[in-house]
Amino acid sequence: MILPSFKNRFIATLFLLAFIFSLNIFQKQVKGFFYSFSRPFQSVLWQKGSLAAHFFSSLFSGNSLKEENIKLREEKFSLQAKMSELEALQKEDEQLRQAFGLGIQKDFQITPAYIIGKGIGEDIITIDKGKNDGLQKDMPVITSGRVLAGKIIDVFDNASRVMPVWNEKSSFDAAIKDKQISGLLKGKGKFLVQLGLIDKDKNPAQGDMVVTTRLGGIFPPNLLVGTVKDIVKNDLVSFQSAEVAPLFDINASSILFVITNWQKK
Amino acid sequence: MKKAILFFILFYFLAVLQASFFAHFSFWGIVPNMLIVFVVCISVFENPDSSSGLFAAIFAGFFLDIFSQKPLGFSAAILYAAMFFMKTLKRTYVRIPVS
Repeated sequence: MILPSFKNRFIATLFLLAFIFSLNIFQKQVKGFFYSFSRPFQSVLWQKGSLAAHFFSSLFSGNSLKEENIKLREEKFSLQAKMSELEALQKEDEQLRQAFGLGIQKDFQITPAYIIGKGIGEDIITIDKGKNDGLQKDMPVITSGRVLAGKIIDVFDNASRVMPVWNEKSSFDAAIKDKQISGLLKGKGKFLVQLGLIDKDKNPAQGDMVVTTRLGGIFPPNLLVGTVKDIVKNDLVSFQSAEVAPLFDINASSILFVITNWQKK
Repeated sequence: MKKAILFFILFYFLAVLQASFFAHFSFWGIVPNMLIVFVVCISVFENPDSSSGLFAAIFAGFFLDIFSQKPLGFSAAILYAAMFFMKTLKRTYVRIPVS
């Protein structure tokens, strides 16, 4: 097809744009096709990218590595003392687990899935399992350590999109473990999370563990979310809030588990 | 036509790289978008009478929408409008000296 003049080529590009808009009728099928086609490339590239990122970050962090080394040495001694106490408890725990078969496989019906990509310009994770593997929208996603990663928001035939806890649209009830302090956990984007609507007469502290609750029915209760980093108190506002560092690290966890027997209540 | 097919394949692989490989490389929380960088470079360095930049903008936008939650055509329309504006400026105001 020859389109010699610029005007003709301009009209052709407008038709092409209109055709792309019309594809929105089959948006799910079109996106599903590309996700299925790209899945093998994306899984390899995600792993290679993670290795390359670790290599470059170690090259450029010489000074901070030195300070971190000194800090870690000090922490090592206090941890060694705690370790000897924990070793005794761990033996007992392992025996209990064997006896009662405790583990995430027993608490939940799970499907493992690998992270293969991240949404371009957005806080969304792509995993390599979809409708063909029994996944549905709103299913919770966790890591092997019972850490909440997020929930499924889009399902294609062979891939799904997961909204992580720090996504700005993420919002669910959570509580500070062992302190009866509940609040609303909201994502702030860029790996930041805030626990808001905490009563002013409660006393959250740095290092407190935040977990999911049964309220709202979005996630199973007692899944680990993060640790309190900072408390924000304002006399002009009726509640206080806490900045929470999420435990889920997208770069450290390549395998996730989708809970397939939990439905949003 | 050949250029259009080439751009389609190029921007598809760039989008896959952007979603899976470059996603690990963030600078102060920002991941540079290689598709937009390529589209701008094509538009800046192409012949003012060529329409390569417009095709590049459409395909780059299409794949940006595929690997994100946006509806198809959203990013394509924005990039197309931006590149068309850039092309109009180049044709009207930029003169390349010919010896």
